[in-house]
Amino acid sequence: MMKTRKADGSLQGRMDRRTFLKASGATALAAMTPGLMAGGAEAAAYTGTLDMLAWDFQPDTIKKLVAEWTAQGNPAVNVAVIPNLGYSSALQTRLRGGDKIDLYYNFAYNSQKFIDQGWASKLNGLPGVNDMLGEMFESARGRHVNAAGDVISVPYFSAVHMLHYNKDMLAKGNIAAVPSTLKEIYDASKALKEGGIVASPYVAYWVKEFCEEYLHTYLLNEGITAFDESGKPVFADDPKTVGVFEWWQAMYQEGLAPKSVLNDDPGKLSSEMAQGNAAFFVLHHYFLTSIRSLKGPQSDNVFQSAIGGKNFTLQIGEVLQMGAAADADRKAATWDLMKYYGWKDKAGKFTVFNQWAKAAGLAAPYPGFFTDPDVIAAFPTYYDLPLISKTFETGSKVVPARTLPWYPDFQAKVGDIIHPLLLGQATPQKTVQDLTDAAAAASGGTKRL
Amino acid sequence: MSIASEPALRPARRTASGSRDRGRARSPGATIAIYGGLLVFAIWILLPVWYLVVSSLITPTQLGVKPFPLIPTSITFDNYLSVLTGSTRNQVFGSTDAGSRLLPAIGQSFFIGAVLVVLDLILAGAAAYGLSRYPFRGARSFELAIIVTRVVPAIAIIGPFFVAFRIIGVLNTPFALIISYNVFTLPLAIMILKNYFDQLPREIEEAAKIDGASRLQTLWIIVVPIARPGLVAAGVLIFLEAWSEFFYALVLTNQLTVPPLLAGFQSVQQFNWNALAAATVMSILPPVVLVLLFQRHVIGALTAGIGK
Repeated sequence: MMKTRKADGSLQGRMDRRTFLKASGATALAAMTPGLMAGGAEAAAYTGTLDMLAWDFQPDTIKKLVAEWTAQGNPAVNVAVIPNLGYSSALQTRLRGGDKIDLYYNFAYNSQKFIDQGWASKLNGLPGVNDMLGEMFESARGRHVNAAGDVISVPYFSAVHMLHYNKDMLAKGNIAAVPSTLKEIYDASKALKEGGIVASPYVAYWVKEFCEEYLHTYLLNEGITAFDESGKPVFADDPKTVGVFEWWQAMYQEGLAPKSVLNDDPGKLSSEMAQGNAAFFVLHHYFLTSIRSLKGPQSDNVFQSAIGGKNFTLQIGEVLQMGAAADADRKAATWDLMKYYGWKDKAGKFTVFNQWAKAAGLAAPYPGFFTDPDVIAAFPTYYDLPLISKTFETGSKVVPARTLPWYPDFQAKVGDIIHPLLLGQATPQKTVQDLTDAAAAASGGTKRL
Repeated sequence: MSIASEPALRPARRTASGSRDRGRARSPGATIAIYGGLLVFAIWILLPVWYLVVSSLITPTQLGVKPFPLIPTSITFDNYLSVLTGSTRNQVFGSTDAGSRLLPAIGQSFFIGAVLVVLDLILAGAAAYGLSRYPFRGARSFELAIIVTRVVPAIAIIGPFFVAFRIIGVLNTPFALIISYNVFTLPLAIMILKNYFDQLPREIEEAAKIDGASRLQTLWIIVVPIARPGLVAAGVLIFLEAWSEFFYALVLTNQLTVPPLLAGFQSVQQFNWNALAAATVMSILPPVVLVLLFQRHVIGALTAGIGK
């Protein structure tokens, strides 16, 4: 095993042997071709226009950021924006139809599939890629580097699942410590409900499409990583798994979460917290911005805390991928744009991530991001940045299997299995069995007997 | 029974039926049940629309209040202002330049719908008239085949469309949508117009022929004017289908029209129902006005032939 360098030159994190050999080879190759290491120089070598596809989140900001990159002597970028809803199918249709997109947003769960389909390029050996990975939280690397050691993407944004809680309600319920484990959350929710402080204390984004994230969040909270490094579903082998599903079912069946929570969107859930209709809300850390900016009667009483106790929470993030450009200059220019957009600018500043932090409290999976004075200034003061940084560093996992090419098929089935559990139509034991079967079917395996 | 004789019979049937209805006194219970049912149905239809309008006129904080303020105590036009100007005043907002994109998108949707109406009425009018007046062996199967084309899922044919449009260079232009929308608008128009042409008496056309009019002259001078209600109805429905189409617009263009732009108000990172409601209200005004103007024709054409 080889340690990788941090920005300050110290050693941090681990890289497997294969990645190291690839990186070493690429570095040697780059040394032999100085033009590739020249940073902006390679971008300047390409005189055409780059094509970028993004989903609709503040497209004016995307265009402004990209224009700033172009203004530094880089190629012009044609930014196309389509809605997040249907993005995946539209992107796949376009790429399958021969559309040449140099750089695009993608869902992390699609990233390996796109590499396998030839729609995205591996980033191995590109100048600076190992520095980027070296600066990244070790916990985040599994999202961008596959099991074979190939670099498949760079970060667009990242987040960790956190507990948003109403401090005032906890005080009224005589709950001294913010709950952290599943059991503590259950006990606190029950106390708040029985004490008449709030009818349905717990909310979460339990719509079918999102149950998969909660599956991992809750399993990780109990110290269970659902899939091993090869993508084999191992959650069924852990005796604590059934207990997680018993907890999940009890939260819904006992009315600790509202009946409507199976259909509610995060906008409504944020509003429930802001209005004081709920005391706990588990979702990505940046939803604190939504809750606070709603300026409801309880908005200012909502704070954020880590979940999972001594275990973990789920770290999520979406990615940028490079299209399958054949032209070396064009590819070099695209990579330069990717570094700027998914890492740092030439001055070493998190210019792009800083904008997303200002816009919505989004984070970048780099320790340096959380200590950058500009970033600290960009986050509202109600954010506990050291806590979020620590959660990224040691309190969260990405579950690398989530980027495997078969994974979207499994993901699509999770909601159909979890909802019957919540509605009391399936037992926790059956749920474990069904999820195992779904994972096996998606990955091409056989049913578990 | 000949087709030409049918319209003459239908009023008589209605009269006879109407006389029977008038002759029977409706009990108060039945009247209450009918009006009660109508009221429930009206609420069922209008409540979501009212919810949408109210959501566009209140703040995000008011939106979260329980119970939902069906009649808000205070209203604001800030959501409309935000959508139109992009001035978010630090409120949660996914698309800060939505305003600058919404009005052009409404314009593009209008242009696409209008071109499609003209194009389809010409093509479908000719096709429907031919099917109505020149039946041939297998005509019924042919009509069924036209209907079947409407049930082909968009996802199955969007790929070839994308490749073709990429090659001819019309991606992200209104023409990509005008061409592709014909997949579902043209069969609809043919079905409506064929049904309508079947109801028109042939005697007038035969008289025109005796007077020396050619087939095309007959179609243009005689048939089109008397078929105007049917043409208007088909045109309105074509326009509405084009206005609300999402998937082709998503894949073939970059938020060129209204539906994909509205979808952009919900992002992975943020949700803003108030702004979405305001944008939705603004974007449904053109089709609502259109339907209100032509509703009589739409209902008439859609119910043509029901009494057969």
